[in-house]
Amino acid sequence: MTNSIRDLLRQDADRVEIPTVDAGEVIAQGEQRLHRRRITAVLASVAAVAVIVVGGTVAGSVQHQSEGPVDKPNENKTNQTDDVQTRRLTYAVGSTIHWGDSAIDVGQAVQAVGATDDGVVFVRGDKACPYDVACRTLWFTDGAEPVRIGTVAGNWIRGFGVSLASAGSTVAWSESETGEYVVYDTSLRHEVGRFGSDRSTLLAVGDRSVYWVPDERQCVEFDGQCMRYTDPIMRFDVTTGQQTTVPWESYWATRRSWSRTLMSPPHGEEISDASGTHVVRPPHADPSLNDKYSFRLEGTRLLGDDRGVEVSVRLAQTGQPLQVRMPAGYPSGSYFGITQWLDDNQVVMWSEDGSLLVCPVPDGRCRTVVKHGGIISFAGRG
Amino acid sequence: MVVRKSREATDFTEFMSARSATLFRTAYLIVGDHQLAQDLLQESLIKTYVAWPRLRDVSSAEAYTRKTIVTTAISWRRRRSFHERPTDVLPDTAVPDPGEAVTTHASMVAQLRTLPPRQRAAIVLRYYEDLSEAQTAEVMGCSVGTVKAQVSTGLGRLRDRSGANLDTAPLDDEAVNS
Repeated sequence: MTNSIRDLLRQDADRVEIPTVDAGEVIAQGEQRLHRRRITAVLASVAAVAVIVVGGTVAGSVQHQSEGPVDKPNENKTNQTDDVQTRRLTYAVGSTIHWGDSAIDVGQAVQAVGATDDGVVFVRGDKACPYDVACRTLWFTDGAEPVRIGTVAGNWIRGFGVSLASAGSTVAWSESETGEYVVYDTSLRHEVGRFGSDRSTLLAVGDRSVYWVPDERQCVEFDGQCMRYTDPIMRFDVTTGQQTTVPWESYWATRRSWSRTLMSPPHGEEISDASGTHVVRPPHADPSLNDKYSFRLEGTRLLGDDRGVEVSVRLAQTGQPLQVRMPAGYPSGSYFGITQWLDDNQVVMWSEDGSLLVCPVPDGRCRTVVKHGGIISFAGRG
Repeated sequence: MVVRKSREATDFTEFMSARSATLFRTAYLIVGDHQLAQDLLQESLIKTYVAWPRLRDVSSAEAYTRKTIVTTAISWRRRRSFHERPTDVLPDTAVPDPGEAVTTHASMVAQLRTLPPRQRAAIVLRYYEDLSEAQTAEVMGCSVGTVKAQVSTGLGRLRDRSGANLDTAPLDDEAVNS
């Protein structure tokens, strides 16, 4: 049977239902961005005058670090073995956020929720209004009256684009009007810095530092995926607000030193499946480091899922493979994903049926703690 | 807040009314999800509105929006890879068993959705939008050689996974460019 790719695409496109796009909403959001740009331009011109007055002192605020991990290994609170903080299990059902033993009613349906060491960050509202500012407003509560902390660029469809440090108090997100990244400290209850543009991308959000790339388009691609960014990496210091360019090697060393970091796969790792043996990532790929991963159950084994490719997942600090075991009853092919770290030794896994499981790492047996838990993360479709 | 002249807003609204359906179809083929495509189109139209005074005519506006759809779709995919993955809804993309060489329309479309975003975008631009390799490279912001590689790899994967005889007769670039 011979198919024309052109005909297949046309048939698929002709079949799809065409939605109505609200011109008024598009224009209103466009005007918001233009308004913000005008304000930013005015502020930039004022700042330029300030730079001239201050002279060379500002130039010293951006430094170049040449070697070694930028953050001390114990920067991450989780490395302090005498004071390991256990985070509270966090999820939402309807308008109620469950934060450990606390049940916090926030008045409207929760669209996404995540925890820091100090409380919960969430978006609430009706899913029928993904573009309304009210449905993209980011809130924080520690059980008291929620406070508004910002507006995110994303929405529940594409994902809100909110990143929470797996330990500590740092939250970062891409802002709606400017495309800038905003960094917020939930222990201080205020914004601590902003940087970048809608071309920038975050690589890691730690307790005391945020790593990012100014222009995500500058990358070396392999098989349609970005394997290595060619621009230097930037480090934002949450405590001082200082920006520093750092070598990639330094970033990798620092990120590996964080205890709640996972890694997959080592450079050029080979995997085998029904269709043969493949090199998952080419030798020029940067290490894949993250605090969260998706997994697919294959028989009794949980295989990491790196953009559709099965990979082994290891604890970055020790190199131990992550081999947690699921309770009986989940069919092969079920999907799971890490939603939060409770401490250095326990992660919370989400399952397709909405249940939450607590899994001892690296190789413990998971136990179901919530059945059909509902909304648990800041991710979206796609 | 200074609002743009009503004439510009009217022109933009007319452009949207006339071209939204076509642009939505392109967005849908690239991301393979109805709601995500709607979101992608909305975002791209907002960016077009912001750039509107620089776009001299409707064809420029459509080309700009199409380019924005492609670059934004790729950008979203890249960003997601470093953030949380799990969703509170099941993914739409079904992955057929590669062992079953069933060449149905549905399975081929599903296979297309499993391709990396740049391969998918290159195939959609070449075979749905009928753009030349040079035009596709312009929209994707890459070289002609990269477009050739993306299309070739993507089609190769579709053939391998579906076991189908895929008619991928290349377009006549000269005719398209003329």
